[in-house]
This record gives sequence, structure tokens and C-alpha cells, in this order.
Amino acid sequence: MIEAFIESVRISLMSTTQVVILRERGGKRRLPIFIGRPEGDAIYTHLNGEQFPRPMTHDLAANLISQLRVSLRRIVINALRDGYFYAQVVIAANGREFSFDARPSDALALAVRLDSPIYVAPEVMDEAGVIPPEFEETPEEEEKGLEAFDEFISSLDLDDLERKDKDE
Amino acid sequence: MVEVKIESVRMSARNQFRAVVLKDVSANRYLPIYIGQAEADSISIHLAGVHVPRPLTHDLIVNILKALEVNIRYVIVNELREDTYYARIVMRTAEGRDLSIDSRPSDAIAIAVRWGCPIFVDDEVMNQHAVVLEEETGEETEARAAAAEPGASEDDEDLGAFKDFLSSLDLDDLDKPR
Repeated sequence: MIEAFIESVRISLMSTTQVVILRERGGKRRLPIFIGRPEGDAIYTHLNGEQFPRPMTHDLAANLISQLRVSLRRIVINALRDGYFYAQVVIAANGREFSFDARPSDALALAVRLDSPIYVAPEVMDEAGVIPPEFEETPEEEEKGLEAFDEFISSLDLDDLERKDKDE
Repeated sequence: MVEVKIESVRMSARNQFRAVVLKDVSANRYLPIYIGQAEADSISIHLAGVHVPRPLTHDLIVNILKALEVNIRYVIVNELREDTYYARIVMRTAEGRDLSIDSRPSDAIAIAVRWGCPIFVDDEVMNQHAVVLEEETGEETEARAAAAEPGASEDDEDLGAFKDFLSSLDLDDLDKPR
């Protein structure tokens, strides 16, 4: 398993889609995952320290896990099938581990609230990980099909988020 | 506590707001609660039996609670304060501990429809804020509602009075974020 962290959450100004960029810890590869608007907001607002008067859905889920006195052990982005990423949420309770299927966005929204480690399965990172051009050592293009990702991402205005990158 | 069923989930044509309409199971009165789009979709998708390839957030929550052998006893919309409805999810843990978790009504209802647990509204909230239909249309609507399962598809023809009511609401007040 490859440990990763959330490098940024990027908002498309042209669509309702958001992209969360996971970065391999100690490595250069990034894994861009397209997620829905509410889930993107759930990750971004929490990382940004925004407070809401009422618990949002992932706050509720995190509260439930805390109040049940179980712990979120880790989340894993464990598969990529037909263009969809899949994730597992692993909860430890009474010395046992329970795994649950989840969308990566939900898993990540829980991970940031409950401070759990984030992992990516090696085969997923191998297939969908990208190295941004400034870090690229070989000029050859990465996996086919990712040009669209790259173009989209490089078209975003990232000024706000670059600051965050440096903080990591 | 008044037990209610979900009468419908409705969308405004003018903005992104959705309303879940709760009906008193034993009286002809309705409580509309404005909720967010994502939560409304989550409730509707489940009630409509739409298959989703990957679990939605509320599916994930329910899957976790089931695996941990938690028993959700009911959810209750227990308060209206400063234009915001509050709810609680009332449960008993596997080890017999009672928990009551603060929630928005939308999340509580999205979980309740998946769990199949009862939905209640506090007496005072219902008495003060429920809408009673006019008698002549109410009779017909009540008979239909009593026969319908929660989430059963609605016959729009019966709901004229209700639509009139909803379209008469001033939603501008609700534009401020909750």
C-alpha cells in the first residue's frame, strides 16, 4: 500500500466537478480523482477550517464513529474500474477490523475529519498516477488517456492552492 | 411525538431548494422541511429504488451502523430554532448504550428510509408548523395517503391543493444559508 495525502482540492469553474489530488508520500506521483461537488466541498471546507452551524453529512458520520467509540483505522483507494475509483473505509471496533465499500470522496471526507491515514493500492497508483511536468524525469508521456486530465488540471487557476502545497 | 411518513420530496422550480414533506400518519397535516439538493437526491434515489454502483454517503453510514450492530430506534425532528429544523438519531449500541446524535433532518431522514425505522416530529413543532389541507381536497388526499406505502409513487392529480400551497410559499427567506 502506498501512503498518500491530500495535496489539493481543485474546483473546475466550468463544471460541477471537483478534483482531489492525492500525492504519494515521499514520491512525486499524484492521483487525481474527480468527485462530486458536495463531496468536494465536504473535504475542502473541512481542510480550510470552515465551520457550519449544523453538522454536514460527513460531520454526522464522523460524530457517529466517535460516539460509538470505534476508530477509523485507514482508508484505501483500492480499485479503478471502468473509469470509477473505489475505496474502502476500515473501522476498528473491539479488536476487529471492518471494511466498507465507499466512494473515494466519502472515504477522504471521513479521513480528514478523523485523521486517518490514506492509502492507495499500488496497482491503482501505477495505472492512474501522474507526475506533473515540472517533476517529470523522462519526456515520454504517461499512461495513455491521461492527457485530458493533465490539460484540465493545467487549465485551472491554482494560485490559491499553491500556497497550500508549500505548507505540506 | 407524532409519527410521520415521507409524503414526497419536492423541488423548487426557482432555486436549488428541495422540500421533504412529512405527513402525520394519523392526521391530515403536513410538515414541509427545506433541505439541500444532495440530501434530497439521497432520499429520492433510495425511495425510488434506483441502483447506484457505489454506495452513497448515507448508504455508507447505514452499512457501518449495521456492521457495528447498532440499533436505530427512530429519528425525530425535535426543534425549529431561527428558521432551522433540528433532528436527532436515537439508537442503542451493541453493548446496550443509548445514544442520541444531533443531525440535520435531511440526514436523519435519509438514514431512516434506509434503515426502515420510524420518523417522528416533536408535538410542539408539528402543532405550530404543520399545514392542514382544506377539507374538501383533504378527504381525498388523506384516503390516498393512508393507503400509500411510504415512498410509493404519487398521483399528482390528487395533490392540486398541496401544489397550490407549495407554490404560495415565499422561498426568498430561505435563500440564506442554513
